[in-house]
This record gives sequence, structure tokens and C-alpha cells, in this order.
Amino acid sequence: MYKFLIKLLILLFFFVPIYIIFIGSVHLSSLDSLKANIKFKKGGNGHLFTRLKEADTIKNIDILVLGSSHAYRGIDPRVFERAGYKLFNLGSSSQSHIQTEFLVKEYLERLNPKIVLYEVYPNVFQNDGFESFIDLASNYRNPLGLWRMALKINSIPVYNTWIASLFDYAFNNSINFNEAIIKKDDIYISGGYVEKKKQMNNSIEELNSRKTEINNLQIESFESTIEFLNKKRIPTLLIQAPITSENYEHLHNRREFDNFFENYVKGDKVENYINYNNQKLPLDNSLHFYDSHHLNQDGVEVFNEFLLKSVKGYVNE
Amino acid sequence: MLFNSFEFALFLPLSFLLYWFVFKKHLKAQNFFLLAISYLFYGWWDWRFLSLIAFSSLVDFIAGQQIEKSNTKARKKLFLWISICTNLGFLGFFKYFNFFTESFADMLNMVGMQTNPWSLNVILPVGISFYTFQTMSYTIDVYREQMKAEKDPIAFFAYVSFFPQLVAGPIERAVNLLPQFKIKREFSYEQGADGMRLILWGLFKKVVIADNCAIFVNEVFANYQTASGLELILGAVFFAFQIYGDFSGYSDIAIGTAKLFGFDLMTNFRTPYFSRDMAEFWRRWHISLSTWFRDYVYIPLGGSRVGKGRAVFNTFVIFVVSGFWHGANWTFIVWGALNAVYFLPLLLMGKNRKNTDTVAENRVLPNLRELWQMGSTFGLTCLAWVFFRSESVGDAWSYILQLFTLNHDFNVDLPYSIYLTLPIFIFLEWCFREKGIFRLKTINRINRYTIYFSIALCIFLLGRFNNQEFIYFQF
Repeated sequence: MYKFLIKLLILLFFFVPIYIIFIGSVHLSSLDSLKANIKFKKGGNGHLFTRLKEADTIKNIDILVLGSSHAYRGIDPRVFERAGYKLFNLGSSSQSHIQTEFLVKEYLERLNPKIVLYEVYPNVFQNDGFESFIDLASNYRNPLGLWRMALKINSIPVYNTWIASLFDYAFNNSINFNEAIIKKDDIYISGGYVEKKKQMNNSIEELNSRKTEINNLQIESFESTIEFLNKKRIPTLLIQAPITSENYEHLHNRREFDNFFENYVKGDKVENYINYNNQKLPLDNSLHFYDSHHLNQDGVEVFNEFLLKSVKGYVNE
Repeated sequence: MLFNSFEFALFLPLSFLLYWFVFKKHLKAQNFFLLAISYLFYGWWDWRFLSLIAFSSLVDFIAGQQIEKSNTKARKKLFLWISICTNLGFLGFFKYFNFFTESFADMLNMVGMQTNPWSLNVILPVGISFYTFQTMSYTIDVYREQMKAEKDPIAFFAYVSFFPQLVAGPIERAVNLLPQFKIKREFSYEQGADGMRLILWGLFKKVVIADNCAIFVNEVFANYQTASGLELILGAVFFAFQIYGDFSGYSDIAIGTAKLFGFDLMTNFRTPYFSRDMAEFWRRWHISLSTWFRDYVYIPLGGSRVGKGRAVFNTFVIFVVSGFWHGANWTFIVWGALNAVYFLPLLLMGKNRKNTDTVAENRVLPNLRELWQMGSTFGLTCLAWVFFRSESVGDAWSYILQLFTLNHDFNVDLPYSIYLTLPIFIFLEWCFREKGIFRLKTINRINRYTIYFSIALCIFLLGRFNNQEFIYFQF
């Protein structure tokens, strides 16, 4: 028995470094056919590399935005700048609460916002955090700190991507990397925002009725983020950015989510919760959205005017 | 709990350590622990269905004892039928109820009587086809006086629910497995190492071969109407590898896991795609099920030692029932019947036991004749798999018709990992055709460990880890 266990441990002892070196070597090589489980993609969809690089250079803002693509594609710092507010958008693609928790803890002190706008799209609560982890591991300056998140998400491609990101970091690959500001229809705007002018194409997206099943890990991270913001005495506003009415109506348990967020207001954990899908904004699906749940630039302008009015009071306090 | 999940990656070592360090002193403690972890393993999927296993075990435990105690043949038969009816009753209700009501309604509709089938929204308990067959083998063997009835309920319940093979086999015979629960297990290094080898190879087959093939197969079968002949041929070939990798991979992990706990389970697959005829294929594919049907259905029906007409009937019955065992769909019945059609000429010409050895035994490569035989057998198998994989017989038929179109465009993205791993897999399977993965024990240490490490790296690098269920779970 002991011989068996010792031999297993010895094998493991040799295998782990070989595995790590192998993953790193494959990542640094051009053997794309072997990268099925290494999802590393620097400068992927959503300009996170540029956003985080910019976040490292700015300080003392008025408004910090957190959340998914609804945040970084839906809240334009230029609209707020016109009203005299300095806003930075720290959203990222499919950013789940696990990543929000990490980012807020990393950047809050530096950015030192007067208020946090936390975009809470219900679908994110069922997310396993995989996609957003990949985005973060590929684009964050120091992936070493992501080990806890990797353990939380716990999947082989996540571990492989994390190992790849460590090799990328060790070989200083980020230094020579420059992300394009314009990628197809996306334009990165200073302040963490990504502008898209495109309108919804004629092909109708098939929408399925759905019930968002909550992933407990996301709830844990969401609560931890709120608690952290409370400790730092940063007023927080929970918001749901508008999506097309058809898409919103396909979510069966939308009322449950409203109640869930409103309980945080009642418990004095957040300042307010505003669901802009219930606010009857003058938005037209074909004019103001580029797909069933993302606003285009025209839609962002409309939405942000309303958002600005709601936020003003809290920033000025 | 899936074998290819993180839960199992924690469950297995923890159970293993507790079993050998805490519960190793007494046989009863070992069996009790195995029973507890087996129920935990099954309950992880849906604890409600634990009552079904427990009830099935209880009925067969009592039935076995009553059969042994009974003085009259009639009474013995009564308890045997109680056991069989209970098990087949559960199976019939959970697996076949909707099929029968819907087929009956279809039949009435065909003769002009419009009816709506009365269907139930029944969840199929995972592994029900496997454990009911396993537990039935016990009462039948006791009835045939091939073994004594079990007196120890814990040993018996642990035998029925033994977690490595509970949900997808191998379907063990009571005569082989139950006695192993009666002897205190001692850890053997050789057995443990063999277990690890099998687990490694099984995981490779599942997550690298089967799950990568599945991506292409799913796409082709979902869009077969627009696919080219070449894509459809590859779809069928890849499905052959998918189902083999999936099911034999599961069996290897199950057998390997059982070895870690000191048990030997029967071999379920012996490189079936290197068979030279369909009779050989069926001696090498899902051996535990084929031999179950042979021993408990085919031979009682008279087997092949009857008139030719009766032998043909018996063969048809066995293949169709075997097909139906897989699922409540006409596609499985046609799949079974088609295999019977493949097999019958060999039986009628007395050539069904021609190839009982291993192909190219003691040679590195097969000769041209063997190559042709293997190729044609594989081709026939792939054709039958089209029925197995399709949603309906109509779909399968359209797929096959489309297969012969002259359009050979290829527009489907094949995962790179398949190009890379499938040839290696076929090569290794060829090397393992006589002794399985244990062949590696005969090569020098450096080469051996290089192969182990390479397999493990392939799993981590090229495997699919989206908790893809094993195909045979649905059966």
C-alpha cells in the first residue's frame, strides 16, 4: 500500500512540473493545434487589455462602473464628462461577480470613486465565470493573483490558461503588445468604454424563454463585493441596463431578481436599485440596439441621459 | 457523479484512503463502507432513485433466500418470477412506458382510429438497465443452483450498488462478483497499478477521443440533410470511435476503479474494431451484455443447437432484444435487427466461430486479407451505427441514402485534436489488441512512463472538460 502511494506521489511530483512546462511551451509556441484547452487570448473581444492599462494610469474618479458588456458597452464616460463627472468603466466581457470581486479589490483604492455603478444582468448569475476568467487572465498585468479565482472556477482549461498567462507574464509578452483601438465595429474610448454604432441587422435573433438558475459562487462573490464596498463606505447603485423588451420578457424570473436586488436596498447595503427595463425609456429595438441585449451608440446616448439624472444626486452628496 | 468530473477526482482518492486505512480490518466494515459510498455516488445524481435500487436489492435478496429454502419447483419459480417481474417492471415503467403507449397510439392512428397517447413525464433513473440485469442474474443463478443464496444483506446490497459499475456496467454476474464481497480484500500493488493504468487509458478514450469526435458527429447528424456524402461517411466513422471511446472508456475506468478497491470485474471490450467478421465483433463488443443475453436468453431458447429455422429465430430475438435494451426507440430495434442480418449468414454457414483468436497474432501487421476483413466489418458496423445514433428510423434511412451522393464537399470544422489523436489512438489500440493496456508492462520503464505521461498530457491539453455525460448513461 505504502509503496503504491509513494510511487503515485513520485509520479505526481514529476508530472506536475512537466505539465506546467509543457503547457507554457505550447502556449509560447505556434502549435495552435495543441491549444484546445489553452484559451489565452491577449486583446480579445472587449478591449480589456487597453482598459486595464488605462486603469493603471488614472486616479480619483467620480464614478466607477462594474459589470458585464452591458456596462462597458452601455455607459459612455463622454456623456458623464459633459456633465462634469469623471467616470471609468471597469466592465469586461461576461464579467461575472467572481471577476467583479477581484477587480474591485484590485482597483478601488487607486480609482477612489465617489460612487460605484454596479451593473447586474441576471444572466451573469448563472455564469460559471469561465469566459470572463479567460479574458482577465489574458489581459491583466499580473496573473499570479488570479490563482484563487482559478480554484473557484475549477476547470482544466481555466488552469491551463492561467499557467499560460504566467508564462506570458514571465516572458514579458505584454510589454510589446499594442491592442488596436478599432476592431471591426468596436472603437475603444478613453474611460473604459467601447463604442459601437452598428444597428440591429434584419436577421431576427431566436430568443428562448429562460429561467436564470443562480450559481451560488456568483452570489457569494456578489455579496462579498457589496460588503467590501460598504466597508470602504462607497455608495453603490445597482442597475440593470436596458435590453430589448422581447429579450427581457423571455426571462421568466425577472421579478424574483428585482426582489432580490431590492432587498439589498431595504437592508441598507446599497443606495438604490434601478432596473431600466422597467423605466419605459424611449428606446426602439431597430434604432437603439445592435443585438437583443446590447445598446448601440444612439441607444447609449438615450440611456445615459436617464442614468445621469439618477446618478447626479448620489455623486453630489 | 461523472467519472470525468472534479467531484469524482476528489471522491475516488478520499474513498480509497478511507477504505484501506480506516475500514480495512474487517470484511463487514469494508462492505458497509462500499455500500455507503456507492449510495453516495448514485445519490449525487438523484437521491430519490436510491429507493429504487434499495427496493430492487431487497426484493432480490429475499427472493434468493426463498428460492433456496423452497422445497417445490413451483415455489422456487414463484419467487424467481417475483424477482424478474419486479426488475423488469421497474425497467418497463421507467424506460419503456412511453414507447409502448406512443407506438400503440401510432398503430391505431395508422388504421384510422385517432387517439392521443397517454404519456408520462418519467425521468429515466441512471443505470437502471445495468443494475436490474445484474441483480436478475443473481436470482436466476440461485434458481439454477449455480450459486448459494446470499445471507449477508450488506454484502448483497453492496454487490448490487457497487459504484464503479453501477451506472454503465460491466454488467457483472453474481457468480463472479458476489463471492468477492465475501472475502476480505487485501491491497495488492499489482492490482492497484493495473487499476491506475486502466483509469488513465479510459479517461483518454473518453475525454480526448469520444468527446472530440462528438463535436463533429453532433454537427453532422444535426444537419445531415445538407451534409455531403464525405461528411456523412466521416460522421458515421467518427461516431463509431465516439461510442467506442465513450463506452469502453467508461468500462476501463470502472474496471480500474474496482481494482483499486480490490475487485476484479470482467473485461467489457477487446478491441472490437479489429474484428474480422461480425461474429468476432460481437464477442468483443459490450461482452458483459452479450454474454448476459447468451446465458439468460439465447441458451434457454435453445441457442444454435436446434433446427436452422429456430436458430435463426433465436438469433433474431437476441439481437432485437439487445437493441431494445439500449433504448425505447425503433432505431435501436432496427440496429439490433441489422446486426442479426449481418450475423446470420455466418451462423448458417457454420462460420460464426471461425475467428476466435486475435488478429495478426504474434505479428506486427495484418496481412491484406485480414485488412480487408477488418475494413469490411468496420464498414458494416458503421452503417448500423447510423441507426443507433439517429433520432428516428426515417432520419437514419435518409442519412444512408444521402451518404451515397456524389457530393464530396467538406465544410465542417474538425477539431485539430482529432487529426492528432485518432491515428495515435488507433496505433495504440492495435498494439494493445492482445493484452490491452497491460501490454505496456512488458516494455522498458522509460518508454512506459513516457507513454503514461504523454497520455496524461494529452488528456489535459486536448481533452474536453464540459462534463460531457457518458452515452451509455441514457441506457
